[in-house]
Amino acid sequence: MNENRAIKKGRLRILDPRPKLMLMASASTACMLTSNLWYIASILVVLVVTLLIGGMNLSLLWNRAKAIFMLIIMLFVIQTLFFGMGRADAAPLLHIGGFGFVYTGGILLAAMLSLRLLVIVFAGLILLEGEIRDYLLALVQMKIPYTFAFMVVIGLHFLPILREEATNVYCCMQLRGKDFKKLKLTGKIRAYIGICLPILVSALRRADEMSIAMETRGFRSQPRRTYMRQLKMRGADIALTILFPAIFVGLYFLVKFL
Amino acid sequence: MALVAETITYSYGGGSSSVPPPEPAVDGFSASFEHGRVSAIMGPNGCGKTTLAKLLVGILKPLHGEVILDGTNLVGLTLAETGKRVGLVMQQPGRQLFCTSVKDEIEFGLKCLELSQEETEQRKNKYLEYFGLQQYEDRFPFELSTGEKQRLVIAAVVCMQPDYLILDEPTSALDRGRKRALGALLRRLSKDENTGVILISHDEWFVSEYADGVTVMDHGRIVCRKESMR
Amino acid sequence: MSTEKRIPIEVRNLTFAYERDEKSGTETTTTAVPPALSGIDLTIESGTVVVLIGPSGSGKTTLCKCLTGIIPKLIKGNLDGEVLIFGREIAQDSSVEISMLSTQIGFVMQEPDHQIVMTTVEDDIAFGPENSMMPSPEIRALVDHLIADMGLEAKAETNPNNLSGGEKQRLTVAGVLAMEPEIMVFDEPVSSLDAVGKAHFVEIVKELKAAGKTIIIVEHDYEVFDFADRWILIKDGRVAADAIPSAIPKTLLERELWR
Repeated sequence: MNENRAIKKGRLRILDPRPKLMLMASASTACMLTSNLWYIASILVVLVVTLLIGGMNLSLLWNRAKAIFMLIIMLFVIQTLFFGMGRADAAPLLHIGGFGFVYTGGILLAAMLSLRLLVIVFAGLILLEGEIRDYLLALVQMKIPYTFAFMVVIGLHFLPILREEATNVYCCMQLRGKDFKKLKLTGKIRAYIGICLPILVSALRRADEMSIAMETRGFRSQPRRTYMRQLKMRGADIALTILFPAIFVGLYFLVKFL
Repeated sequence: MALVAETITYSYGGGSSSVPPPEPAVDGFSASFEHGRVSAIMGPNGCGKTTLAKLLVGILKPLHGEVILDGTNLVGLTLAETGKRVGLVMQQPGRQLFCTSVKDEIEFGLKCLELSQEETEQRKNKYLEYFGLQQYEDRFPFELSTGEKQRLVIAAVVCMQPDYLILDEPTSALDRGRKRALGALLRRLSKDENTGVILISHDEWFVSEYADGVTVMDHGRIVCRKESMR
Repeated sequence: MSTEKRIPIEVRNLTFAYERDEKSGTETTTTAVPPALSGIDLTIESGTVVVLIGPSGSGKTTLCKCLTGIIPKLIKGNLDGEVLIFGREIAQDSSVEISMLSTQIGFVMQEPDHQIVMTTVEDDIAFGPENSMMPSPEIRALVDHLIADMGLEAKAETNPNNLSGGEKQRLTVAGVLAMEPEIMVFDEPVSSLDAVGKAHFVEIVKELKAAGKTIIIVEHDYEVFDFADRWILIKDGRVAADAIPSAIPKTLLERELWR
């Protein structure tokens, strides 16, 4: 069974979730600790290389995170244009009608923030290459209290259902004659709020019924629970769990002394 | 004049190229649903009935073939335009309610039709009463029981008096008395108001009692067709 | 205790009314609503199949919630009378918790989506036994057995969100069966199933009965369960008829259900 999955799903998929969680945690911590552009860029390179070795190709990456990439580019442009406007101690690189735009400081700051965001996005993409059920087991085996681990996992499990419900309500509203294309902006906003209401209510109701259902199946009847499956770290998993933070520490000193 | 499906095919997924496309949910389905008839579609769970319903109103677009509503291809109409002429009651009534009171739920469609105040009021009261919902008028729809929600969704769609009415498993949460009331309403709509009713169901009793003709589906295809129930 | 013949369910003079918060202006007042159940007396013997029949809103689901302890533990209201599960009072005794009842009485509710907890079929079936600290190898064996029983072999590692309605329903049944309760309560188990699904469910019920379980089913489509030991007609929160299926006059059912 495991062999089969390896062929079908790529290397990152069969990796134990713990090295992935470790990579996510260490990469995002490292990129927040310094503001050195080269260092943050090198973290990003490590993440991209990991994804590529892990069996993801560039076009797939682009498809998954297109919207977020666009948002980051937009933020970069806006910040570059307006940061430092009207400041006396810096010389603008661009003058339009007496106003100064684009400062070197602005470019650097925008680049740093964008790179940080990219690090977090790519770390998230690495986490996506895994099953929710495995992360649950990983969290529990890392001695995180099981009630907390379940809260996270059930939240993740609900997201696609909520999206499906939102689409359904959107369709129903249109079928009852609401033409979203003809609405003015205010009407549109009101209509979209109208979609949120039933989704919120049904999410609350669902959470309520779910907690009843979980309790009737004995959830929290014991201080601990057992698990049908057990995650086992293989040599490579242990090695990677240690290697990833080591790489970031190594890079830090490399960048510092170069 | 009819709602016509011409060899429509639809299949889900097939998004990523590595996975082979699954078996189509609806496969070369053709039928003509006429005014003034209750046409039933039956078949086991997962035979493609629900997908067919979504194709017939344009929520899903067929991969091949086309759906023609009284001579117009559905592709050229928005969902709102189609919805005013073809009513759809889907499964899971709880997912089709979005207003803050039972009254608003019924008025929603009527307001979109831009009817007069009087007409709106009159139709609202008529259908609230018909479906036994008048005592819940001001209640929050999500507080209702499943059966009551189902009746409310049917009322909210039927009150718009569409030319065609598609009902996907409308009886699943209804007790016998309510089933009978719904059946009588469908019959009246088709005979007196010339509505084309398309009834998707696996409730054999309900279909045999209230449908004029029946089409049986399996694996997205038509297995057999009976024009008359007598 | 084990030498005595244990009675799975005893209900004594049970009356229950929901509380509803009514908002009038700025004040929220709790108004009394007519009782959903009034004066129910019921004894259900071990190994019997009981079908609860009645029009919508007659109190069938409310009764099920009382039997499983959801009322009054999680849903509040005004409750009078006693509910005994294997001789132990659960409605008035505040030391009884629902999670403790889970190995005695299992409840399959109406909406499958609200009961599926985990992200794969096999994990969801394992959820209950994991909660009661069953050792891993035993859970594995139990889950594999239930998956085969329910015909879900090909879907063991599927995300439940991608199952069909019938498959979801079978999964919820499997999830509750995994707790191996002595009593099973089903709320409208077959209404959304086709003929094949109904027949399959009937087989499951017959197997459970043969295994000595006590089964309570709420269903509009009661004729499917003509093999039941008792049909109980509930009307306006009271027991209107209670007998073996053949002894309940057709005309009575006609009058009560076909209005």
